[in-house]
Amino acid sequence: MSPNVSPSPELTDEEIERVVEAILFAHDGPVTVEMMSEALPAVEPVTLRAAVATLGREYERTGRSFELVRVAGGYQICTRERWASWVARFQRGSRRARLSRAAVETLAIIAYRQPITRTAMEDIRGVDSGGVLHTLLERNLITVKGRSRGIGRPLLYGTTTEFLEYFGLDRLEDLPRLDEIESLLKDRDEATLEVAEDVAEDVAEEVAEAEVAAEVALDAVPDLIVPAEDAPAE
Amino acid sequence: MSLGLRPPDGDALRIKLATFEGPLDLLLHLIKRDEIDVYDIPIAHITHQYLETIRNMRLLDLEVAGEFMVMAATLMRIKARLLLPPSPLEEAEEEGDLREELVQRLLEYRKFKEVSSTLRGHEEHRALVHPKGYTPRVESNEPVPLKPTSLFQLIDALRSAFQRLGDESVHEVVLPPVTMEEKMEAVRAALRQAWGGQVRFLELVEACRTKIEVIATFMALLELVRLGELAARQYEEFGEIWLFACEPGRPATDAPAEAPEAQVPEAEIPEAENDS
Repeated sequence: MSPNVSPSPELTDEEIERVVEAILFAHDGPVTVEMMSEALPAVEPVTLRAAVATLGREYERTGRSFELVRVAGGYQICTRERWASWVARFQRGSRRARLSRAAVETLAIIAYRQPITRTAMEDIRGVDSGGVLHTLLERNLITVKGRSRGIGRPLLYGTTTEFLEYFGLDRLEDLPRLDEIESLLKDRDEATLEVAEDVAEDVAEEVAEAEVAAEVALDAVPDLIVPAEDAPAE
Repeated sequence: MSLGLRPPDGDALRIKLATFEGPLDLLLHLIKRDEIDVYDIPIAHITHQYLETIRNMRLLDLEVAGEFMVMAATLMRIKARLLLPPSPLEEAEEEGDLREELVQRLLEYRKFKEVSSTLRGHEEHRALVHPKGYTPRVESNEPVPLKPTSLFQLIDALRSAFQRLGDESVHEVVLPPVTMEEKMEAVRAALRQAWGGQVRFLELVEACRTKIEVIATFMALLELVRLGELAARQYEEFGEIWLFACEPGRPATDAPAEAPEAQVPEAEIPEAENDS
């Protein structure tokens, strides 16, 4: 037996791991280290984090069908993607509905520009977004963060923990930065234009070749014309 | 969703229309389709393509939102300016501004459209991993923190009760007369029998067979709340509404019973303002 090096007088490291596992197993949603501390006040957060890491490695090593995932600032036990189709077959019908395009687009804007007013968001999208906002509020993916100081003191919206959870993000910073997106799009623009230029060049070449071929064919035409009087009579 | 019509004999008639989130989405689609440089948009060409798409949408009886027409007007304005003979300096600048502004809006919108597809990827992945979780039912004896229910939410609940009823009217029957007093008594009885002295609002109205019965029940509830015999609470926002029996004459401990609508916290106001 290894000596008890745990800062907690009652629990060994092994036992702390098991308690952490039990909490992760029992809780509906990601569990943060702060939440674990409530159940294990005598254990240092560092030790809790280490316990979580050990658990994750254990699941990895023993080839379990689930893994420890970092979500919304906490940890969650999730089945591995590899087994998704079997679980889906079992859960037939109860699969959650995908968000609409308008909803994802609106969330994208809110995620980067929060806190943001409805008007500012509609300016970017170019369409009325009242209905989408209502759906997102209802699904708890966004929330009212306060009021703007502007005229009419419009409401300001921001994303929620459920937003992170829904998309399986640990933090908002996990999303690509806007300038990264911008340079990616610029590269893509250039690539598209290059392709377009290449295509134009190819077409020009083909046209030139066709012209040459047509000239050759035209040159041959007089040889093929048989004078009318020499034509065999029907 | 996209709509593709193709007659068996080939490409003679081929209408292909995607649904667009808005005018900017449509413009980006045209720019991508025709391999146009976003920074140098040929206004005449794009205006033509844009108007043609809108015409097709109308031909197919798709609803064309006002925003699409505003953009059409903007495009035509830019195009008209280009066709006019060289104008005084400030006007030429204005045209340049309009076009530059459009490019900037497109670029900005395009960034978020790109982020949308990143998010969509996350969504798809997340749908493939199933979190372990146990949702405790509210049946436990532990006190659960309650939030006051606003009158708006009660009315919403009434609306969903009506939706459950549907519009079925197969044949006419003589409706049994229902009175609010009867329903008040029924609610009191339900609360007395209910486990833990609490009852789901929908449970009460689900037992009703006609709209008039639902209305009578709802009025009875409001009356009982006013009399302080009953309190309405929710465990979570947009969640189920629960009704609790209070001792007659003594209001619920954490909420004055006489005016439930007076307790609407500020955070609940957006519902009312978001109507569009």
